[in-house]
Amino acid sequence: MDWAKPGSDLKGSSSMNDIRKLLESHTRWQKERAGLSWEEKIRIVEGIRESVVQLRSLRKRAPDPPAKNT
Amino acid sequence: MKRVAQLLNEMRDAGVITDYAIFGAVAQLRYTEPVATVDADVLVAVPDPDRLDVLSAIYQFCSAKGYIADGDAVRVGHWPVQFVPTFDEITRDALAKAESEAIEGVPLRVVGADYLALLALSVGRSKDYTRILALLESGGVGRDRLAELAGRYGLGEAWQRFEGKFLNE
Repeated sequence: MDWAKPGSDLKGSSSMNDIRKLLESHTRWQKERAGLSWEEKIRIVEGIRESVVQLRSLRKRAPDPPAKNT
Repeated sequence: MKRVAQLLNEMRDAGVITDYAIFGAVAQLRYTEPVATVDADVLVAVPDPDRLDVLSAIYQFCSAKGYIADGDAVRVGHWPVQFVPTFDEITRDALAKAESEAIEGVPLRVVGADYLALLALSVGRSKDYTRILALLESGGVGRDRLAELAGRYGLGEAWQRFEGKFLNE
């Protein structure tokens, strides 16, 4: 399936409409998340923290890039 | 976070602290969308605040429960917990006026939006200003209430600067 790049088939103010719709949708999503219970939001944050810890440990394990010969 | 709540209640019941309240980003979550945070900040009142090693009894209690110090925090489950003893009128009042919540059925004291914003104003880093804006936008605290509190605690000028920079455009 071909996905159209937002605004690619539109010109001028129409692509602004796309951006506005995107921002409106993002704002709705943020408000929905803000309306979750405190416990639910804490669980989300705990999930984010675990991902960050895992990413950091992966980065630590990655070998250093080879030193440049000058 | 349930284990953090249990530990704090046990610590208070044992008399190691006289009161506590979660503040910082974890407390902010009650009002705003989820925000990433590394640790849980806890305001504590201790029986003898004039001691130099004011946190040592807290750390000993945690250690006896199997929770080990990790830098300047104590790791409780997934959370590094930072204990901050009350040190001025704002922190003392923030603790005294904290609200009761529950996490998975365990009671937990939390600083309310008005004092959270006031604490952020008193610290004044970029991330604190972001917190104030988020709390205002959520409706957790209003501009009038925050202005009134700022005036009461000698932060009137800081509030005016904040208003001028972020709200009066």
